Amino acid sequence: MEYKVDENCIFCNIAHKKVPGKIIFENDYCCAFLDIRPVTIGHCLLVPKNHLQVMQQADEKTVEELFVSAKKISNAMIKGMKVKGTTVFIANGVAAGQKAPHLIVHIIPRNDSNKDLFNVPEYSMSEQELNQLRIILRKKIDLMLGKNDTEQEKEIKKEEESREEKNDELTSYLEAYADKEKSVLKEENNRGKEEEKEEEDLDRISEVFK
Amino acid sequence: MICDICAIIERKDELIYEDTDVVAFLSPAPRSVSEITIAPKKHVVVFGDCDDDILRKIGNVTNFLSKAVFEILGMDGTNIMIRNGIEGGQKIAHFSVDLLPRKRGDGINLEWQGIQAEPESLKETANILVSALSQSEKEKEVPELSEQDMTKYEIKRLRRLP
Repeated sequence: MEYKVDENCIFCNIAHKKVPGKIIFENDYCCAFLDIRPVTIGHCLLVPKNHLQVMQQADEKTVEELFVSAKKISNAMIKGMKVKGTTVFIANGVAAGQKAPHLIVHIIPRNDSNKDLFNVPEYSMSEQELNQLRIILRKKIDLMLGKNDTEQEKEIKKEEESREEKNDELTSYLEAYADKEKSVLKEENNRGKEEEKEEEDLDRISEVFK
Repeated sequence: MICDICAIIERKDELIYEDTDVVAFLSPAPRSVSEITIAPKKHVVVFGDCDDDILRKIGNVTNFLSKAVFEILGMDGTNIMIRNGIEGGQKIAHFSVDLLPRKRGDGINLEWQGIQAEPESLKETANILVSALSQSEKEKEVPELSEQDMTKYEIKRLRRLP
């Protein structure tokens, strides 16, 4: 598999074994190793093998692999380290507390020593504010997913897609036809040249017998 | 007694996203304006019990919503968290993923101070985790006995009894 790597990124270097790290898990898409400055010993950093800064840049397969791998590691922590809880934490963007230049999925074993971690006070909102927010989100999300397109708009989109497909088919048919014509012309040319040569030979022979 | 999240799924009026396996709604106990909870429709208590297929879908829905909040709400960042188990901060007995949209200067602090780990501890812990991971892979490979095999086994066991 080819990877997009940043040579100056320490996380890329650990994931691709250019510098040593305590790797505990890897597959084609991601790699997990122990944090050397952990919240608690066992704190794992799961990173994509491609250099990505935030999860929003990741393709679907990478996202899927990160979530499934995080589950495997979390289960291994519970089984192997006998902790009763884990927290998976991702910070996308500086505003979210991101410190590293590479996307990291933190998997943290939880126990008494770190029980106050991620305790954020509840944000109070009135029922009305919540409802308004809900309506806006619902509408915009449906729009992004094309759910609110009218039947007519859906038909138009479908037609455009099938027209593009047909265009592609037609193009490849025309290209194949053009190639065929070229090879037929070439054959005719060659045959023409052969016939000319034959005639020349016949002329030469008849010269001799004049 | 129905769980809080199953009740929200059944009522439908609070959902902001829904497909065949996954739903999303505004968090009942939000830690920021517009904290969103993404959950499987199937009642699964903890992260570790969620089917891989459904988890993959949840991952993609979470990422989609994480992108959407930038555009819809003008946010500057997002946190994605899975609070697994009581000690992990889980409050409702139905697995879910929390998406916290963040704005610069919103006053939410999710940071921590790391402690320098001893090399010996790191080595020991790495071994424990690698071992636990490979054991669970092996457990997956053991083929389940068919009903026929189980019956044969039971008969053999009974024959051995004095």
